[in-house]
Amino acid sequence: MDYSAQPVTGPSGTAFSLAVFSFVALFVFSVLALLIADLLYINTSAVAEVLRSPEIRAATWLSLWSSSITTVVALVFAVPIAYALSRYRFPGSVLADTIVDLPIVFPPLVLGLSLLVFFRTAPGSWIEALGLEFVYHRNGIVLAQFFVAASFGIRAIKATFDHTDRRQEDVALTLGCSRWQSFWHVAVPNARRGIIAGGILTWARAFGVFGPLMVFVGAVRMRTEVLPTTIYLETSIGRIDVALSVALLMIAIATVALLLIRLLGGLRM
Amino acid sequence: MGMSSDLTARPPHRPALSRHMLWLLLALLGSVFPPAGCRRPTTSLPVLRLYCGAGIRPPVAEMVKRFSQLHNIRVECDYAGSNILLSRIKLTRRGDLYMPGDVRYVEQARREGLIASSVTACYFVPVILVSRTTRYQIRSVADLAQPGLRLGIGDPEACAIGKTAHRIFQKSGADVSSILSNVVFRSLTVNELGLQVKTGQLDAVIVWDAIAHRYRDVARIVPIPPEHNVISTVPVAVLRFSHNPKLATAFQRFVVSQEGKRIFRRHGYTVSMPK
Repeated sequence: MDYSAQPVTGPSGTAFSLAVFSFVALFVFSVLALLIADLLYINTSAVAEVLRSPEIRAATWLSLWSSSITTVVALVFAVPIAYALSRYRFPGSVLADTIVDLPIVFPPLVLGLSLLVFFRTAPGSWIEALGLEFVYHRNGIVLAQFFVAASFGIRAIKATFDHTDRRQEDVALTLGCSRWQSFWHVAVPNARRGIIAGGILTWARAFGVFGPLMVFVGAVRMRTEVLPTTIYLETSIGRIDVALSVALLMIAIATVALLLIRLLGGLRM
Repeated sequence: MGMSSDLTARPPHRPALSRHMLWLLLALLGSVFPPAGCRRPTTSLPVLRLYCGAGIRPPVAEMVKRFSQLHNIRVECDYAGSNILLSRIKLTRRGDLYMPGDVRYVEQARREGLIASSVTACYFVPVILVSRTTRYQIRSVADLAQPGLRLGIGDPEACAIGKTAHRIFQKSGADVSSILSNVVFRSLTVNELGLQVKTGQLDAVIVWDAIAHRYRDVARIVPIPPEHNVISTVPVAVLRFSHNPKLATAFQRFVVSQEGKRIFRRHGYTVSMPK
């Protein structure tokens, strides 16, 4: 096992670990304080309404469904992209590397508008004419989430490829592996942790996407409403207690999902 | 490739990723066959798309439900801020009906040739919402100038009710600078204002009547005389490119029918211009 990844067990009583852990405590307690404030604000009737509402149940399923499918699609793209950017220097590789990060800095509304504008153009309307609808459609949720979230996955996976030993891949090549085999049987398993971490980042980011969806697919209840949309809809008519209950539901689901991915991925907790 | 080299070429690690790929595949399958709650209705009913300002959702959602039953159609009611809806209408040129929070959005859309017809659905009438625990006598806009009174209004840059409140102060002929010096809270949306009065943080706020209606049990509503008031109109418009203008016009008529008006009134909205 990689020595550098082994943790020191428990804080030892030095001034240094005291300093480090006070930051951990401060951050953890700040996050908890926000959650507790939300918990104190909501009431049982709001929670009961959230749990009973068929619209919110549909939004929950759609949120889970869309962010999971986004993660799968994003990983299919992210692993080869990250590998190529990490292992090869090609004309324009610096530019490509920068463009991969662009969606991270895109303001959410701009991404939504850009997608709408794209589907007005000839290639856009051609795609929709083929029967693959995106505008105002559930597919559009996955598309918008993909653009927002994939960059995070690519970044995380590329960092791992950057730090894994490429000599092992070269050795596999000298032992008769094809490029495909050395990629699939050496590089990818070596980057397993990074790929799982990238998947986690992608899923978490996709689960919380709202801005581009508001513009690109809209907020039709039972059809294109995901949980962040529900929160927006409830706050816009002043039902802050219901909105916060939905937010806490989202946080609970995300916590369970992230723990699950980690467990399945065999990462240390 | 000989057998021996095949053996030696085995990777140093077992491909542990296949297990994860299996899970991902399962997730993919689950998403191709989403749970029943997510499934699309299989019957192909006629569909109307209504773009609706998010703030007027409660009565409109009820009308949409009723209208869908009456005509056996599906109305896709798409909620967002009125300005975002307008951008979408411009860019996609799809949909049948537009119901923003203020008539000026429809006027703007009409200038760009997007509107076939428009009628008034209801009115947003500003009122003074007064805390039950206040020690001030508040019966008019002028009473808001009393020294020490804690007043809340919307931020004029952020929401319509903020701009409107300023215009009401000016129209009322009251001491505007004294009133403005009493403003201790400026909200980003009209929704936070009612809550502040309910909890007794503020003595009075200026909000729309439909918002005040929600707090009628915990606060007092003081009307503003129409000659001093600035009343907004909520329209319902049929879009020029509607694929089903007959049905869209039928919805428009339903909104202004006795039944539509009854639904608006039940949610605290004003359906006739106050005299």
